[in-house]
Amino acid sequence: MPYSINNGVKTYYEVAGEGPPMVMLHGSTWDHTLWLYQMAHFSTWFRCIAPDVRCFGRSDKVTTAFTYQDVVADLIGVLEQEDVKGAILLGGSLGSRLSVSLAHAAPDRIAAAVVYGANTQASPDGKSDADKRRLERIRRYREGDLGEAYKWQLTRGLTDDFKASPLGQYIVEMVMEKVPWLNGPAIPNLYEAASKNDLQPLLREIQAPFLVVSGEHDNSLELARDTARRLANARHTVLKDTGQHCGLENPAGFDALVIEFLSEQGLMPKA
Amino acid sequence: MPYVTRDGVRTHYVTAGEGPAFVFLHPLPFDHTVYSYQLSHFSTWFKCIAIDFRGFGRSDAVTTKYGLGDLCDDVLAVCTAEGVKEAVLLGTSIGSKAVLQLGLDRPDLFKAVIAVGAGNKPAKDHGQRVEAYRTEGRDGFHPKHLASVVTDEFAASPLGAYLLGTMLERGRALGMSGEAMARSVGAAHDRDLRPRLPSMSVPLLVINGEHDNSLPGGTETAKLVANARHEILADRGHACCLEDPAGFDALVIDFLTQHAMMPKTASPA
Repeated sequence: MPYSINNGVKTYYEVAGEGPPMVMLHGSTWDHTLWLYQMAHFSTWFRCIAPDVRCFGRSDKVTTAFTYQDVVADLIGVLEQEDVKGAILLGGSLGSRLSVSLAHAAPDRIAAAVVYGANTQASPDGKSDADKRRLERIRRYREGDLGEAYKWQLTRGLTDDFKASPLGQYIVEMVMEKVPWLNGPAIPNLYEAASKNDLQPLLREIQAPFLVVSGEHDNSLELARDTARRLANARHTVLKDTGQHCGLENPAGFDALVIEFLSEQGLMPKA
Repeated sequence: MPYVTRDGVRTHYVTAGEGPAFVFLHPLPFDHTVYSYQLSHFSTWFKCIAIDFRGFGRSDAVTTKYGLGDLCDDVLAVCTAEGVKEAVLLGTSIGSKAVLQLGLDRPDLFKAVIAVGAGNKPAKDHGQRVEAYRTEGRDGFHPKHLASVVTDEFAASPLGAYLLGTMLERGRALGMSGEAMARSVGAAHDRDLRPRLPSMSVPLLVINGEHDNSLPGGTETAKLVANARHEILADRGHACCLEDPAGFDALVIDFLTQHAMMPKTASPA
């Protein structure tokens, strides 16, 4: 399966389906597995491309400091290698930030985006709730056991019902089985890099239409609503009974929202 | 996305992951996406190769008659194209019949085989399904066929309805044809494997859902093959890989571990 190399850093990605491009960007902690339902479903109409962000999955574990722009460049490298133009982006959590950055940096490559967990606020004084959570994540990775820190972060965006269900446990365990691939000190580099980057000035400049989805129980719901307000061409919608990772917990509901939005935008291929 | 062409017929397949080869053969009336959970999971340790049989997914909709042997040769053509020297092989329903045939014919290539369903002779009622695809067409019969291979409970659940619904969408969007699907049903029921099964030498795991119509056939298959292992997933139907991925995968992992074919989780290079 393919790798793209940007400045010596390898990014692994999977490809499924045929048609216009759809690129799926996971959050911090997960890997492309987050999108298993959407890869199977949208590969019906699209060429789906799901990278592993650096430090996760099969991509390089970068233990030296790097910038958020380095991560964006990794993904632009994948888009260039796959000759992507006019893509639909799906982005969750950190993937929603990366979607904003790609739509801003490479507007000819991005036609529209559907994002969830879309908190785009930065807080330089480290006092916001989101910042406190980030600092706690970093502390767990630097001071604690890698497996425990990873599992804590993995399950944070999931509802208690899903975590307790046999299917939820199976999916979490599937991702946990890849912990031997990870490098503990590399992971906080990603959080540090993302935190130093303020996306809000970019939002009003982005012309591509965005659908901002929030699971009803996502604690970043109000921040996502704010993101949608600041984007030039976006609307916000709430998916009931799910946590942050709504594509995983409620693929039927999430996919229906994506299809409705793409149909409205004239971006849903005809059968 | 990858295709191989053999005798003018294109077979589509997908690959995921890195490691020893693990080939997946879907049941009717699904395509390779029925194994989405397994591809996500086993790609951690294996190069997974999931094939669309002719008439399904993106493979050619062949409307002339062919047999199980043709499907097996399509599978071998994919293995050749991917440079496979040794593989684990898993198939459900029609896929399980191909698994049994290939396990008998190519023990040099397939080192451990898993047959889900594992019927070993033509089903008495298969002619009805052939007719139904011809008279009702894809849009008339595909929904009924899909519903018949899962439990009612699964089909009625939100997730089950979504998964079956996405397969119906694929049928329409990819232009699958009722005639081609009818031909595929015919190929699944063209031979009696029982005379050769006692000579099967590769390790075999037979899996049946408790409510699987193939349970009697699978039980018979497991008895005919020396050293075969038979596992039954309680409360599940024919497509148990979809209904109970946790239980299904655990059986596969246990079987492969038993035969020292389960790789350790290495660090990627």
